Amino acid sequence: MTALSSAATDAASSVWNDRIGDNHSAATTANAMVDLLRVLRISLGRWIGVVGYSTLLDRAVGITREDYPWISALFQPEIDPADVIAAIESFGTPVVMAGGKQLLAVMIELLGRIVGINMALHLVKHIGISGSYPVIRASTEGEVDE
Amino acid sequence: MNKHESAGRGLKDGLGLVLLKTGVPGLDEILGGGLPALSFNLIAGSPGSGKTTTAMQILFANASTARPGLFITLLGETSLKMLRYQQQFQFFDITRVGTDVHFLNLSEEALDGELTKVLDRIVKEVDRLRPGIVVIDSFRSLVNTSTAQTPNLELENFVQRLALHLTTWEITAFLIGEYQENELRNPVFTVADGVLWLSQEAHRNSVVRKLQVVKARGVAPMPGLHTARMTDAGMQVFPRIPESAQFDGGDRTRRLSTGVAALDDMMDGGIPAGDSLVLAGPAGTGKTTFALQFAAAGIAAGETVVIAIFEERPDVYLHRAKGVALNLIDAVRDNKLRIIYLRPLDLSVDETLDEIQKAVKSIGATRVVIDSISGFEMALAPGFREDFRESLYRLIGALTALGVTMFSTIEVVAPQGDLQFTGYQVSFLTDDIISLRYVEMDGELRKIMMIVKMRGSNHSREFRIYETTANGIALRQSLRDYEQILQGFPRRQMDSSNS
Repeated sequence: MTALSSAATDAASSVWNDRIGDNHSAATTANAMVDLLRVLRISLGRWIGVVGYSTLLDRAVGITREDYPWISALFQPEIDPADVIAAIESFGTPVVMAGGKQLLAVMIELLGRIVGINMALHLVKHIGISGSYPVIRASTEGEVDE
Repeated sequence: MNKHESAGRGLKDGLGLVLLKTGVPGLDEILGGGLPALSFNLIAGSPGSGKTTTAMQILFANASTARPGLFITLLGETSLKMLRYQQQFQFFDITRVGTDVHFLNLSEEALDGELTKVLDRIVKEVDRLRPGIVVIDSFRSLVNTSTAQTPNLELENFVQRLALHLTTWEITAFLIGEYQENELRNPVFTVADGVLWLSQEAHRNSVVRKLQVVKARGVAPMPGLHTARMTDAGMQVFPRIPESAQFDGGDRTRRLSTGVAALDDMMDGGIPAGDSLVLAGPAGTGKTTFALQFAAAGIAAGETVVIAIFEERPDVYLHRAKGVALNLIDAVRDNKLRIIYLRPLDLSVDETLDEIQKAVKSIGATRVVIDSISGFEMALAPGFREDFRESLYRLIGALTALGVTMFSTIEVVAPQGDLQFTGYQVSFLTDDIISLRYVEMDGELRKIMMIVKMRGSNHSREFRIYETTANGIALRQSLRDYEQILQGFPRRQMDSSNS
């Protein structure tokens, strides 16, 4: 497992709590995770390119699956809510949530190693997945509520 | 008009073009004030010449939250790498990213090879963000991915439409592309309002960057190739000193003490203010001591002095001053003396001038010492040594135009009897020349000096023996009754007649 900095894990936790939270039904959790991945793809894709985003996700999945082997089947550039619900039914909500949160932390960590952790955190804030910044509407790709 | 903008002079008074400050030190001066707002520009050149950095610097200098900057990456350097490396420059302020400065990666659209799709996306993003400045990097690579049967024609069409869109949206735009010099006839160059050409050349172990304003509609740019340097601060350009900025005369009635009273007497009171004096002599003749005394005399008279050195470090140089009873450390501390140590071995004359000029202006110096011109030549990149005389001419001209009095030393290795006083054939650009020599007298090696030339001024014609003592230069007897001095073996004239 790649060592994660506290900055990356803290940022991932913050984003996760803002966007997904706890104690939801399997369907709500699945939809929130799908929405988060979609926002990440659109927003980070704008900055680093769609291919750049996919490559980053691939590597993050590859690292995270050492702890959560099921994650590689679940997290693709396009994620299906039904697959998330199936994973929750198989492994339980806490495990799926922990795997998803770790995946996000690994992505931030990897991004930080390339562009510097400050820039990575700044990008994460500015892509609209944190409550205090403009929120990208996942329903309309590329559009930002300001 | 925001703080980055200024009214441009244009080519004709009253044209009133708004010029954007580029944020690249030296570039506005070369451009004739800045870049015309709403212009459509091309930053072209070879790989690694600093195109992206220059564009990014301009972007950060002109972006604001109200009119942000948009940096669009098409192909070439990946966005991740670009962000990784560009943020190391001081101008790259992370906190402005996402508000003042936006990045957009369109590599997917570009890889599809459909320029219309790329254009549509650019237009859409411009409409959304309303930027004041847009950079497209790397624009040239589009032609390589184009699926059109006539990619060049399609590219030309694309550029025309892009230029039209961006101008209509009141945007100042920069396309970045790798071009060779033989491609200047490319239609893209015709469409562009401005073309900045960047290049870098390797000379032995040094690399020299150059910038040329090939084209700039609406302004009157400074012609020629200008040296550029990339530092932590980003790109900096050193405007090539125009020859029109030469000697302005100055008040030649005022005399400046050399710090050696007897030498002042020989010079009819000292060095005329605003003159450029060259002190030439072989190794060990005390050139630096003369230079230090000139500097110390200025400080003692309440003037401020800049010394440019190339061979010794400042602490060693100051220690050497102490050896002849000159304590200049306090003067450095009190900003009355600025010592500039330049020895990177890939300097250009323009960079050297820039450093000296900045120091002169910073402390209001009236005296400048260059110790030595020989060391200065060694510090230059090999490519600049080829036209050293011309460069030196421009350097001295630009400095004396500031009103300073210059004192330069030159090491000569001419054999005894050679009447070439400076060895560098630079006498034409100096007002005054003092030559130092070794002679053999009474079985000893003695040092003599003579004033070879003082433009428009009386001066002593005699040869004087001098010594370097613990208190500095001490002039001794005149060799008035001697002959064959320049041959290195002075003989009393009487002795000669007896023989």
